[in-house]
Amino acid sequence: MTELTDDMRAKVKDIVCDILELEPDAVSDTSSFTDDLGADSMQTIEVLASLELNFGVVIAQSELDRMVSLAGVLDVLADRLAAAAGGSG
Amino acid sequence: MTSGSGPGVVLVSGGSRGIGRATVLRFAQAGRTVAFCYRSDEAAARELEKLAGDAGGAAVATRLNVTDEAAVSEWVARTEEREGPIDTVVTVAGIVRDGPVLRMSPEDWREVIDVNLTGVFTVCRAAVFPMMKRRAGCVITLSSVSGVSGNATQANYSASKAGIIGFTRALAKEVGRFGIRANVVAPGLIETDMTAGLPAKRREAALGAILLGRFGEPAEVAEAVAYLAEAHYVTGAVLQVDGGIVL
Repeated sequence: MTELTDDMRAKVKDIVCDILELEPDAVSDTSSFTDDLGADSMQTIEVLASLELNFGVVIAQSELDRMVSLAGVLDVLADRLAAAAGGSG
Repeated sequence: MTSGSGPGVVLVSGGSRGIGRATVLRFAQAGRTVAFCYRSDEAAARELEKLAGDAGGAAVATRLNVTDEAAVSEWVARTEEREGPIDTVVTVAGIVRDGPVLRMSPEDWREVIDVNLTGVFTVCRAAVFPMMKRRAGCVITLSSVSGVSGNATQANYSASKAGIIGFTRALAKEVGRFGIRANVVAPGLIETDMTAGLPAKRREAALGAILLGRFGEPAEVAEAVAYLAEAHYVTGAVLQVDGGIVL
């Protein structure tokens, strides 16, 4: 897994907060998008699409299952960046 | 062959005959690249590839069953890889197994629902996700006036076509925020293989119920599909192309 820089982590949080229409303070690494933050499943797809656009990665539909919290999103992004760099991802 | 820049690829399920064939040709005449699938008629599919090229576009045929999830996913992925991004999805594939409800076998019920309705779900499930990521595209599903009004001896077909309308409107609500539109074309009686076998008496009775007094042509349905592909402020609509039929 690729280690994400602080800037990348901050960018991901910005994306999530923007799409979920929440203040950064309201989103912890482990808070559930749907159960804790009131997001719907379509917003998770928006997050996925935005990650692809901003980070130049390709994320499979199946990864949505892991993208249930900020921590999950960061994990998926780290895996995809590693795969794009030729790692095992 | 590749679509290059400009408009994306058109994906058509059930393209080799009837309304599907006319749809492939309509987009080819506009210079588009069309990837279509067919179930059995290899000769018709190959002929259509050639006609599409002659018409100024391109067509790529793939033989598959729309109820085969893996085959459909592979078809979509291969099309995007070889021809370019898909921006228009048209689902036409459909079958009939007519009979009164009391004599309809469960197999005939299931087969029609599987191909006509689940096939639409399977194609859209595979093709819409990449369009959502690109935030562009449209889906046009082919229903039928049977799905709007119901038709005796076609409970399975009518149910599948009514289901397509519900499916498409639900899809429109899901993908609108991604800039994707989803609409339905509901043809009436069209001159295709499906209606060619109608007994003379039923055909005559049907003609009496059509305000314009004739069956439609596949190209007239394809024209409605082409309209919806370019109607950028239309979504969740059901466009009946039926000559004013009163069932």
